[in-house]
Amino acid sequence: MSPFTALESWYAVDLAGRDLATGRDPSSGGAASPAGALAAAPVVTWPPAVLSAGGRRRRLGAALGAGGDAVEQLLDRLVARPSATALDVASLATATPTGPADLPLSVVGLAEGVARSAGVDPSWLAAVDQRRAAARPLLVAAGRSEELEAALHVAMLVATEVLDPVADADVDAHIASGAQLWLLGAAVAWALAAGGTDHPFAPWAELVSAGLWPVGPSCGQLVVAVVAPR
Amino acid sequence: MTPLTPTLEQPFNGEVADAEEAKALGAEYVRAAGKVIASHVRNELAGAAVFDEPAIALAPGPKDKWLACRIAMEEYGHHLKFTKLAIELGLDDPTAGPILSVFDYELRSWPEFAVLKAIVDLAEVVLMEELSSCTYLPLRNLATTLLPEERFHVSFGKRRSLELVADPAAAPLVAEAVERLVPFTLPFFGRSVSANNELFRRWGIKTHTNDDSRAAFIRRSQRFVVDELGLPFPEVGVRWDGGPA
Repeated sequence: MSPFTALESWYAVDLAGRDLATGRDPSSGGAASPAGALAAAPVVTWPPAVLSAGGRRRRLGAALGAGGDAVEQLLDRLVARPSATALDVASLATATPTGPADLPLSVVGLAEGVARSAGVDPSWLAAVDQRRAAARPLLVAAGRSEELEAALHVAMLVATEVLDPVADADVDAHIASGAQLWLLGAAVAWALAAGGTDHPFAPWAELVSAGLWPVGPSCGQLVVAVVAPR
Repeated sequence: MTPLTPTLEQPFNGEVADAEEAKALGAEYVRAAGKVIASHVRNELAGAAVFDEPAIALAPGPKDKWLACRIAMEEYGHHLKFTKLAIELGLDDPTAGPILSVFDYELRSWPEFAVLKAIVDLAEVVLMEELSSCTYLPLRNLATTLLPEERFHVSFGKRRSLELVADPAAAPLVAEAVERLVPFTLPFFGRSVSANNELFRRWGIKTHTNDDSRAAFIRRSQRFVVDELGLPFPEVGVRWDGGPA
């Protein structure tokens, strides 16, 4: 049971307390829980919050419960788009979702990153996929499905826009964006499951926030593509 | 103020700036715009869930996996953007209506997904092109905004279908998908005799009959299937009155 008891309507709101769905003060409708309100928001302005009909306000992190702060911080960095030069790219990149990779780092442009993604070992990618999927059953077993759906919903609303390819017909940019969204989704689910930032996808989520795409091991190198130079 | 009573011969051709103006115009206008918006709310979500999400797992390699992921997110995003219009217009529950029969479908292979994007999303393009001149400006603007993404999905589907049809192992799957998907897509445009379509045309939400739109889709998809893929086009008619096409 969420710490925020039901029997009260909750609304997803912006900083000024306006309903995200209508841009007006919350009035009719509402959801039975803070997570339910977030999951029903058709748009998000950053940072979102929830407001109860009784006037109680919760930040995104608090509304999502354990690990919610890590989700909020992750998305906050994504929106802020920190410069990649401020990161220790090598350390973050070698901390892959399947464990440390002892490979030389190769930072490349977008087109080369896409080309080299074809050389990524399928069995390694399958292992990442498996690790990615492992967060959901943990959360479901803990009775936190609603929080997971809300976190993913908000994350995808934010990330789909932030990572929107500049040119609608740019195939490479769509590939990179899809990969980044896939990794971010995993990071969000794991942040909730782990209750913080100590999880397999946290280092790569840092890279994504800075406009990088960790492609993975390809032809004896660990490839990271620069998607959005800052 | 005298209420407007547009007819098929003299349809409403004004511009309605927002939900308040729509409501001021009358319940019938809200119903017309609302039905089209609600249909997109449901069908964009169903499309993302039934076609695009399963395709992520079916993708043969990393590049296609990421592309499928991006496309799935975009389709889900379209659902949310139409949901916002529905809320602004005060629609009760836009997800409550029926889902189009085209979504009663199990995606089985990557070639099928490629053809699906080329063909089913082309139907979406035909519909959105029509909405990009509709009288309800929020809907017009949204359709205009979303069209480049829908066109990208179609171009992705066409590109992949062309690659696959050149591969002797995949070509039969492409041909089978064309046979299966073209008839499935036709109900997307609604029945030939449709009170809803008349309502939409009287209020300038749409300008074409359902059969006109279906004919445009058949023309365009046939050009792709026959001229580019070099495959036969299923025998289909422009009319649809319910049931299997």
